[in-house]
Amino acid sequence: MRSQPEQVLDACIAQLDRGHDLEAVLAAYPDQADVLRPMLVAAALMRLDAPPPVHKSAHKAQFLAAVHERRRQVETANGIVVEVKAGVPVREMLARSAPDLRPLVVAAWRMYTTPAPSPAPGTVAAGRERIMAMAARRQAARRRAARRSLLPQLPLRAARALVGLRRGLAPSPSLGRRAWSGSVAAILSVALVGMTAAGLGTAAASSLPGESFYSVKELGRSAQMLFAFDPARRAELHLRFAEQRLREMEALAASGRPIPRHAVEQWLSGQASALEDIRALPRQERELLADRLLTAVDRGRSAQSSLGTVLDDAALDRLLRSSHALVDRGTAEPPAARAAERSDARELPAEKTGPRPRAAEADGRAPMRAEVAAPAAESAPQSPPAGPADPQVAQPGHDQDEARPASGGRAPAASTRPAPGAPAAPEPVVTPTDAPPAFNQPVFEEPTDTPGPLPGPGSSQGDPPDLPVEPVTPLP
Amino acid sequence: MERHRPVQEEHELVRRAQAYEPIAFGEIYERYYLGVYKYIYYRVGDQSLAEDLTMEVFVKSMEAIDSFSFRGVPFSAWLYRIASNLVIDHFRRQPEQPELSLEEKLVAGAEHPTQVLDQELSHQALQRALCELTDDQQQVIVLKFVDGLSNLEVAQILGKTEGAVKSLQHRALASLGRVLGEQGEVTA
Repeated sequence: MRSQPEQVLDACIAQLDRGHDLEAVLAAYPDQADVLRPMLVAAALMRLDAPPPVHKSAHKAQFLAAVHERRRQVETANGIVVEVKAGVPVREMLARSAPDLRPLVVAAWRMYTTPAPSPAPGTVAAGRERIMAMAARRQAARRRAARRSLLPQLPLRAARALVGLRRGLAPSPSLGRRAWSGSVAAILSVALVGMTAAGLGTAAASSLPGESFYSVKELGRSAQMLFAFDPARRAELHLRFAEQRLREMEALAASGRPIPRHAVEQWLSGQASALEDIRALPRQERELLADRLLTAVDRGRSAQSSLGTVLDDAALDRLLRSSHALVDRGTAEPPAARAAERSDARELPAEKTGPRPRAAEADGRAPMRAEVAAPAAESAPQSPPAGPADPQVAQPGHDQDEARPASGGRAPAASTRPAPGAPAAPEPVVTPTDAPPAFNQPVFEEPTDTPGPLPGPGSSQGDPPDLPVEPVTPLP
Repeated sequence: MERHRPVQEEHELVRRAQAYEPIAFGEIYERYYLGVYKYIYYRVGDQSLAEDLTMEVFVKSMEAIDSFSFRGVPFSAWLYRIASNLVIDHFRRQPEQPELSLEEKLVAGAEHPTQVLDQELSHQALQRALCELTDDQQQVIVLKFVDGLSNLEVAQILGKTEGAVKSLQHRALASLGRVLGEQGEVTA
């Protein structure tokens, strides 16, 4: 909003533009004449240097012509780029281009056809490992923070008492101790779940993977694991949750909804964790739980067709064989095997089972990763599978790396899974591969509604029934 | 570089990455590493430096993943912006660009030495020509040709209009053409 003096000035200048005399204009504002006079004189002087209207229109026409020409040149250059990327022969383009455009054609052709350098495969693979390890650490830290936030703000004395109770309930094969810890865990987990899921209990209990309240359900499961202090209790919880997760996946499949990959992975990793806990039990206590694990894995295998989702055949096979071994022989694996597992333990999270550190977290994802590394090393020299037809990249001389695989375009490796129910194979020492995955070959399939199975092991020999873990790449 | 992936799929991938799922980050790394690497390489002209900076792009993307949200801009545009900022920071720290060394750049493998040499000379000439461009022109040309992005995608990455990108492309090609020569690099 212009002030009153500014409005007066504008009015005076407008009158001068219409050709009025300066003194006549000032006469209309006698009390402001002294202030307006120098300003109006300056304005008049400036207008004397302005080009006359006829020049202005001529200049405007020149300006618009220059803009039009500039736009034409820009669009012509863009057209050159489109033609080069479409594969029009450069000599043909040069032949029909004006002389001033030929340098642009050459430049575009050079940019498009000069092969781009490729990064060192080892560097790429190491970087991927590092990124995934960093993500795993952050995920673990976030989960720990989430667990801490579940606990109510207790008075200091009560908190100390809780810590003492936790320490007192050390793992022990005593049945009485297990019963006591089980009842305490049940009471606390119910209280915990009740406080955190106030008003959401029913919704969370019936939620399925991918739904809003499913995370509350998972928090409740984590809370129960938090206070499971001995391997039997933990194995039992793992098995119960695995059975629940399988029913959830079946419910999703029945309603025609896709099953999230993380649901499958959690189901697998839970059973792998159950296997670890069962192994830690004394021989005489293993059989029932191992049998239950065997049944769960077998049921999962049987449900594969109805689930129509990605289930790692190799991981299921190993779980089956390990479960058979536990049931049939009831023997612990050689100490060397467990030591090898611990030395290769990764931070990729298995289902979190409580505050006790676990030396070898068998992760449902780990077998997929390690399994793929072997066939990927064999196929590293091969070019990646072709992606969708993309005229901008599928050109001779252009970097072949541009032809990235399409969704789901994963090079399948041979599957050598044994028939279900086959006799348990011996349990060799786990020897994780050091071979990095081939770059440009996605390790995992794109999630689709009807995905195919993940690739099985590339080698037909020596598939360890134990769940291999990925080698740890030490961070700089 | 894959640009035809469904938008919903990318949203789901980013959501999982924001939950720090290692597999999601591995997938992001595999999808975008090569494009980012090439973009950085053509800006800095050094392979090992480009590898280091590319890794830094993904590390920084992880650190800042929580702050990312889809506002009509694809996730790749965000990654390229991070890469662009890292390259700018690098140039600020080291304004003098090292001379390209043929010994350092020769491609290992079974290629014929003559082919390697020709390829390297051609690549070197192109790299030198790119250094003659302004920063904006370089970015447009590299993103359009090396990473194969469209004008719209480049505009989203650089925060410019499509018209501005086309204009920069025109000027960049004109400058490149002057440096490379009209017929010097055209072979039968």
